[in-house]
Amino acid sequence: MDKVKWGLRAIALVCILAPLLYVALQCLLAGDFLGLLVPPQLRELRSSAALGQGGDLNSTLVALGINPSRFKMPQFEDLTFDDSTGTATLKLRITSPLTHQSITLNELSFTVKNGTRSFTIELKDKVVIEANYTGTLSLSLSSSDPDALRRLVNIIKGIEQPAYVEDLKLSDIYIDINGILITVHDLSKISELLGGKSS
Amino acid sequence: MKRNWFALATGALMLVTVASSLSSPWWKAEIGSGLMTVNADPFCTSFKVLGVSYVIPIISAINVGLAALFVASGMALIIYTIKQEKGYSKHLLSFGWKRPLYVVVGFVAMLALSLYVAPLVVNAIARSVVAPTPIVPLTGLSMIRLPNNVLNIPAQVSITVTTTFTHSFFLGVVAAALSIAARAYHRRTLSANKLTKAETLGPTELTASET
Repeated sequence: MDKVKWGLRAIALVCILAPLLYVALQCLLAGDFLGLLVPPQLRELRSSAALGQGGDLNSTLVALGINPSRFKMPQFEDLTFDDSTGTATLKLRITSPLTHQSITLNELSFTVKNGTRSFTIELKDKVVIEANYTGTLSLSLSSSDPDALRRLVNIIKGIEQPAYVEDLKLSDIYIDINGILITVHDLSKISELLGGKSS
Repeated sequence: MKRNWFALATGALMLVTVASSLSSPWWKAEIGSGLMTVNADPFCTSFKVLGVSYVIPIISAINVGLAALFVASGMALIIYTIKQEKGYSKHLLSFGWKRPLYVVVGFVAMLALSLYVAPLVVNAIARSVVAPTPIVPLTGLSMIRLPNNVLNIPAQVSITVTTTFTHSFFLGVVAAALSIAARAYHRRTLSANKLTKAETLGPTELTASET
């Protein structure tokens, strides 16, 4: 009877100790005790830093799933307004620096103010940018006031330049990218954002 | 002797719990929409940052050890049910029944402790960030607000955090509850057997047979 009891105790001991000893032995043989606590993916970073190659931000970013050579600001390609649907389509050239993770623009909305008048523009459907994606991204924007949206598109494209353009302001900007929520209550005048184009 | 079905159910459920943990961790925290995921599990703990999975070797070793012990305990309970009349069966029950209880209680205690200790670590690293205590609730949706001076723009930036216990955790809880029932049932059948024996043999014979 005692044999069973001791046998079970031995099984419990082996179950707990064997994996711990295996990992500890590996680190002991490599002379790297921090290896017990550092994930294998990040181990190379530590060794390169130890060899005096510290400050190699690029390799750190690569290990974290970010390709630094692909860091580029989105570039404006086109902005159109569809009269039949009352939506504006903004096309941007995008290069995703993330190598394993997609970027999802869940929500985007902002208010355009001209004195006491205002209208809100929002993203119609969420946009997903896959990992490593390079290409054109289309954002469909709708508004509570489609006519005002059409006029704004014309102002941005330089087709219309009414006198009140100087007073147009962006406010209540709300962006949700991958669960990161950004809220800006007052940004600036649209004319300042557009530079000399509208003035 | 009546078969202890509670023990058989516990043993089977313990094996299922370990298998389920491989695909679904006991507790999951998602920071942002998949930006960072923490998978806390007694048998398979990992975290994911920007789509890249990481495991900490020592925690991984503890996880493997616990999984092996849990499986061994589950099998012990199954063997106990099959060979209940054998003399050594009580050792198998004693070896197996406590394990789910210890693992569930230990896991919840460690998780709660981590959530209360994490704000202290965050505040020590980044003094400008005021982390709430606990850093996230055990379950539910919460927000981590970044201070405005971090990004130097007049914007409010916050990150959503979703925490949840998955079905694997509840399997573990059911296994723990069943293991207590198995132990109680074993005690009850043991005393019932003694009583039957006493009634059959009579007080004199019982004393003689027991000696």
